[in-house]
Amino acid sequence: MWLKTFLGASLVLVTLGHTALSHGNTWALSAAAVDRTQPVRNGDEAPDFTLEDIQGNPVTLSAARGKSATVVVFYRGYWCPFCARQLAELRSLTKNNDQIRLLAISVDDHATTKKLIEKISSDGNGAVNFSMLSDPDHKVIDIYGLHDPTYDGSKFDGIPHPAVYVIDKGGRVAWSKVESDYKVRPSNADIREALASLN
Amino acid sequence: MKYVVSVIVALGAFLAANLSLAHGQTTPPKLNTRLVVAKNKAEKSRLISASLIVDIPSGYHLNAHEPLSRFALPSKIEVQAPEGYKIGPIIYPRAVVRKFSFTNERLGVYEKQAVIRFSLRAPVNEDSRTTTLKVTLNYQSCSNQVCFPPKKEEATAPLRIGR
Repeated sequence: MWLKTFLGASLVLVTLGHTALSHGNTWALSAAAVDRTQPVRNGDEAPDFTLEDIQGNPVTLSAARGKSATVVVFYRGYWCPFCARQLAELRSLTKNNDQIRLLAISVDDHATTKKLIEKISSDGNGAVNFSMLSDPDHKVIDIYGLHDPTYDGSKFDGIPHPAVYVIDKGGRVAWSKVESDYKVRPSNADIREALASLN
Repeated sequence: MKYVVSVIVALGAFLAANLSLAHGQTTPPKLNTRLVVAKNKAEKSRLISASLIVDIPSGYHLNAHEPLSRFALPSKIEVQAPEGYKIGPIIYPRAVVRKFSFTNERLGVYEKQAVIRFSLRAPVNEDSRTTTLKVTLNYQSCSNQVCFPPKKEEATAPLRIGR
């Protein structure tokens, strides 16, 4: 009797504990499954786009086709500290002689992006040496299947799940990382490894 | 016997709830803000003290006014006083310095409750009347799991001038 009771109680405890431990991940995964209905994947042709950089110049993804690989980074916005740290680190991703283009995309307007660039550069480790593009209507974010619906209808409508795409010279996605854990971003070493595998 | 089982189950539920909380919240917190005017009937041209009290739910924090990290958006308030009122210095509470699992940086944050104090001076020729004092809190909240987009919370309180 005692043994049965003990086993029964242990089962309840283990079940409850497991439920609690997995709660965060389960929520995140189920949300991801709903949000990211059709994210662009490895091997897919990268959807083409033209967006403005902070100077108002149009930047087209396919302009690099046949010339260089492109790294496209989708970040959540100026307010996201994890994203800002990632962008700060990305300054050292490419070297001057690299034939790699790096584009960072958010829904932020140019003025807000300029402030973020100033903040990133204020550490004395160099200016932002890649294009930061504005996708205010989140059209590109949507066609890449990255739209996070959590903030739909708010001022932050259309923000993406953070993602990095490595696109080869032919315009195909060679490597991608779409994060469900917002604290995690691929390192420069991860991206360099993906770029190296293109050669 | 039933008593022992009940205790074990209750303990299990308690542990489960705490483990869940420790894992991190993934939805923005609902803050409770109250604006308190120290002297309800402020005498003419006298200094009026006021405080914005912000209750922060467990499992969340707000970036402090001086959050230490350049990438953390600071908490700050905007005071909308009636015309002619002079707004004195705003005194933000001291930050709690924390080290979180998601960054190597130390962050200055507010937890549980933050009380932001400020003062106003009514104009000398102000008539006796009741008006409204409005304060807007701009803040960014985070849990151990995620940081949320910045938000605003407004709080108002009646301000009675004269006798």
